[in-house]
Amino acid sequence: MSAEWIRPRTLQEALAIRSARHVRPLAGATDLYVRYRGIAGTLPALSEAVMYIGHLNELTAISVHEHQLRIGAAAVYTDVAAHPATPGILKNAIAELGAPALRNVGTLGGNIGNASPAADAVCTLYALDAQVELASLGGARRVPIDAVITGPGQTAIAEDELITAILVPLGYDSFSFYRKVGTRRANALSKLAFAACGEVEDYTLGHLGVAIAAVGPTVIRSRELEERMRGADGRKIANLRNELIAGYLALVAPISDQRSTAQYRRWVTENLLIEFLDRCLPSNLNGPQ
Amino acid sequence: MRRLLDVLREDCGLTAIKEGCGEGECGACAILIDGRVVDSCILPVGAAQGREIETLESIRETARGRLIVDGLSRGGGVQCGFCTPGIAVTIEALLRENPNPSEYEIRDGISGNLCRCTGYQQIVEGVLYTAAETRERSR
Amino acid sequence: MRHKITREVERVDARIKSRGELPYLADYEFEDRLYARVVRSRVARGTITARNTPALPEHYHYITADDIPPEGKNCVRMIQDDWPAFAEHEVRYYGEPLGLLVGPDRDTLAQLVEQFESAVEYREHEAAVTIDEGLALKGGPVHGSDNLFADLHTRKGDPEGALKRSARVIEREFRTAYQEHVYIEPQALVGTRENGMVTIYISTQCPFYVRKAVSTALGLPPDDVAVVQTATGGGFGGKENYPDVVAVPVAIAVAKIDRPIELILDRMEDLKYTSKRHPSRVRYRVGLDETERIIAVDVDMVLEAGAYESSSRVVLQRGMFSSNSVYEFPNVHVRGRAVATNNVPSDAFRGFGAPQGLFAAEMLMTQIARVIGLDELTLKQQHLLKQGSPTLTNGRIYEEVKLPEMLEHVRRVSGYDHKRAAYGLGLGRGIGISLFKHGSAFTGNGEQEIIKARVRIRKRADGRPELLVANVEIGQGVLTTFRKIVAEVLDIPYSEVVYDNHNTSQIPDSGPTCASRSVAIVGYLLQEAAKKLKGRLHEPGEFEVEQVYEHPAHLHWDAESLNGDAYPSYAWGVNCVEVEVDRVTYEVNVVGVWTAYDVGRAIDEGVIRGQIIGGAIQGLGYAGLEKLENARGRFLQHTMADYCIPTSLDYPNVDYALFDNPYPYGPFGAKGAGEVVFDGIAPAFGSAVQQAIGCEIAQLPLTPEYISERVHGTDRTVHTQRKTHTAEPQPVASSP
Ligand SMILES: Cc1cc2nc3c(=O)[nH]c(=O)nc-3n(C[C@H](O)[C@H](O)[C@H](O)COP(=O)(O)OP(=O)(O)OC[C@H]3O[C@@H](n4cnc5c(N)ncnc54)[C@H](O)[C@@H]3O)c2cc1C
Ligand code: FES
Ligand code: FES
Repeated sequence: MSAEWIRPRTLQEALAIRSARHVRPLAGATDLYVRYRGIAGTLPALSEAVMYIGHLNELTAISVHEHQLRIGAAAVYTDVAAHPATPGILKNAIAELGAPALRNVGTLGGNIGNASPAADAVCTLYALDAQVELASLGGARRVPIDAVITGPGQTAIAEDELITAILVPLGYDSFSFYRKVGTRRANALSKLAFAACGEVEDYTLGHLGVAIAAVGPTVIRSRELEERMRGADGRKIANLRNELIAGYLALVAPISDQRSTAQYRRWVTENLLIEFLDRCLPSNLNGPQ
Repeated sequence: MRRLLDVLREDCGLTAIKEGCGEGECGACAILIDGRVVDSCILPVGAAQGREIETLESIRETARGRLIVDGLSRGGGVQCGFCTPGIAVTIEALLRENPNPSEYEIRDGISGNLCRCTGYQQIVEGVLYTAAETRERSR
Repeated sequence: MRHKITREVERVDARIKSRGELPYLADYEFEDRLYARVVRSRVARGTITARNTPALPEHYHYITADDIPPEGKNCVRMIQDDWPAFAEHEVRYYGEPLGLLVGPDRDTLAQLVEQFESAVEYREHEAAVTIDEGLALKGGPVHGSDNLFADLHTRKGDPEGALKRSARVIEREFRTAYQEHVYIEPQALVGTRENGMVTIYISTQCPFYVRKAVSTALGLPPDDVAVVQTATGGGFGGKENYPDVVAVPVAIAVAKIDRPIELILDRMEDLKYTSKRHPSRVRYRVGLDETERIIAVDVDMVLEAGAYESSSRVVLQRGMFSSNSVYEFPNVHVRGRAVATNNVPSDAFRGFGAPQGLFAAEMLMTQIARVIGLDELTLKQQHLLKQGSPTLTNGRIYEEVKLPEMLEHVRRVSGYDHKRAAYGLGLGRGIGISLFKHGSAFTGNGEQEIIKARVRIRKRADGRPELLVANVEIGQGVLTTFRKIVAEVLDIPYSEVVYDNHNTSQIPDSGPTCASRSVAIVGYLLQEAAKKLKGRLHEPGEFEVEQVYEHPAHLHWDAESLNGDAYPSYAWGVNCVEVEVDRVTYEVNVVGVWTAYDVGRAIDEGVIRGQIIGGAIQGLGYAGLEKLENARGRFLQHTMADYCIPTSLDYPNVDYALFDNPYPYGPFGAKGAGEVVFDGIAPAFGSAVQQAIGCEIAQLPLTPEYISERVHGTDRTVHTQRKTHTAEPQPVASSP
């Protein structure tokens, strides 16, 4: 079962191959080579042709345009975290993602492509209102991250498309709150993760993103509940608190698996909402008291 | 596409690095690619094309490599030894990046290397020694 | 004053290991080597109705029970012969070997394994996979008529009468779960034929165990099989008996095919199919008199043994004998059962039953203290064993018990008294102390009747002494400590001592590398042998001196009634763990670990420190992190990503102190140290967590999930065992 290995020289070539035939894109391989791993000395049990894209300069660049950070889909975590414009909350998520050896090869494109409900970087990208650039020979489109990931392991990426970049609006994180609840302190997968960030102006809440991972089939984000918080000051948040907690808890649908239990995930989600609404938001809306 | 680990161990005879898990969790197979630490058990060899690979076989012959071996050996950083080559490689990457790491930075740096014997403390002490000696000697 | 042998030296194997120059099994080259893969059952319990063996490509072999020579036997001999090398008609656990595929190409083998396993048809039976299901004979007995591999009792005084007389009876139940060894080098061996002999190169703690198992299966005299231990990347008990299970099928294949055959378990196979620590259920009924002194203890301990007996009977004994921890109670009854289930057989793991017994006993004491309104340590001190005390098996504590000064030390350096008082109850912080002991060497008369250790030292022609023993380096440092012992007697540098022969054909059987016995028992024999050599090193030519184990005359043991001196000596420990429990996530943050040990005399402080810290971190993993659940006979956490062992960021530095207490029958006074360093961490952690969350805990591991249930008061297991006259659980203090 020796799967074919394709190494395009340019993004253009990669897209041409993608439009011509079925190939599996591969960047850091930290998901694919674990999922299809065999034993020592054997080939991964991958039957599809693999197209390596980790070396394509067009995909590894990180740059700033106006108020947007453009992160190449195949930029490795270490480089993303090191970039001066990377929002703090994304840096925090990366600092707790895997271990150094993993961060030196793993990519945001892979985290999105893998579409795990427990993906840490993806969770933060939800909160940051990131968009995903999907390109094919026909051109590029920009899709909000929550529209790209459609279910566990499922994406809206077309057969002929590649993720080329992740576009992160800058300035959406004048405050942020990130908490990964992992299976252990380091090199851990998430039992759940909670990412929230936004803007505060004149003691009221501007833009806001709240994302919770591993408590449903995809990362949970509710624009409706966020809309209710927009423009709120500390007092209003306090008044809305119970409604918001109930609103979020109605959206989560955690399961029990080998990493944790549904009940635990629910309780901790509730606790994290309380932390966020009772501590994090007030301290940012009212200033330190 | 074969795993880089198999190519290094079986074709190149570079057996200093070990396979402890084959799933990127334990760090026993750590090598450096373009100076950065990577687990070779989940890396297709094609991903290393055109890039510089360093294994413990070369690192141990450098000045700092010898001090890394010293640091691990003096104070009990080695027990069964199976994790040790991967840890030595990881320490090299850590010290290249950060010649004066704090205890926390060392613990963070080796957090992808599982050791079931030592409990890590003596490895951390060994790295502090290596870092201090390296700085001392390069003065 | 420390004896000079305690002074730390550089381990002899440290540099070659950190340079990556020491070959482990997978690093060896064998000409014409073939690879092997195990074909396994895909049901936990069933009758094989059709094998439908697929056709084999050329150069491939399928080895089954049919290939066992007529003189041989389809078994992996351990204490019993019940564990078959290959299942023939019935399968008793998921992953049980049915055959061995052998051939030149690993990719082809991988495909064949899939074909062969999926071709087998079974009539599946209802499987019993927990202690309770095993005791209830779910699906009918797996073993015998009652599912019990062992049902043992030991009795002291009049426990029944004393319980009746008691003013108060307190009952508790504790459960502990599996633990997987996760030695970083998986199980690995190459079988071959050398000089006409079946020869096994293997990563193992016990080369003579492998030889016994292989020679039995092949029907050969033991001397016709050679076993060579290769550098072993960790064992912790996991390479005590399990290597036999992989070696026997390979040996059968070698006998037939006559080529070198390599079998290295992939990590996932190793996690799924190798032995684990025994899960346990321990129930206590404790009687107190009017003055609140404990006068009677009735213990019912059940260990989950899995599908075959392996070493469960002996693990059970150590568990039973640990169930009173370091306390003297006048009237005691302990019943111990090893129950059969449809899981992979449980087996040796650092501590060997003691961690289960000690966790239960130490938690029990904390909970009794709470019920009667006494400080934990005060209650413990009231009942502490001392020199001359009878043990629960009516043996005696012969040595001085240094626990009081060790406890004093740990209280002081940890700030226990102040913190315990200041942290209150259920406020998120806690600190706990455990006291414990670990018997050195085999239980009862094992050393005398079963092992009969024998060592030799050869004076080589070049004048250097060479150690001929069967004990092996698995990371615990014997290559260094044995050399130091002999060098110290002979007054030569330890680097002069040769110790590199690990071939059973060339060394005497000094017994397995386990049970904290290597230094305590074998080291002593080496010391005595070296004394015979002293003054003779200049004699010309080559000659050997020998030393054979003799049981100290003051020790008595009755194996029938489990009465007498269960162990010749004990290592003692005091552990203190401080924690913070996160109110949001219920995660436990370990803030500090302080330890004190009496291991007799340390042969090398560096080696002992390595044991202490490594044991503590492994113990913390057992206490709070390492969750291994089994559903329908299959382990749910079968990747390293899901079975989580501690990383460098999980736990803080470990403080330690050694209390010198030389033991007359140990080398330079040394006792065992390899296991005591694991035993006491979990109960210290448990006591700290109880204080932090303000309610009792009753199981291991103390995962955030379990803690969240306790805090929310939804966990039922603790309440149901309560009798009316015991205390109600404390109110939940940290509900968010
Ligand atoms: C030891 C270890 C620890 C880990 N820890 C974490 C953790 O803490 N948190 C976490 O979230 N994840 C973790 N992971 C999972 C994994 O590392 C991440 O999901 C990583 O981001 C995947 O990136 P990659 O480039 O390696 O993916 P790959 O394996 O290369 O690809 C993953 C998937 O995405 C597709 N893909 C990749 N790039 C593109 C593209 N440009 N366009 C279209 N499709 C694409 C691939 O076809 C594949 O389906 C861990 C993995 C390991 C082995
Ligand atoms: S063998 Fe590569 S990380 Fe474990
Ligand atoms: S020394 Fe044994 S695993 Fe690290």
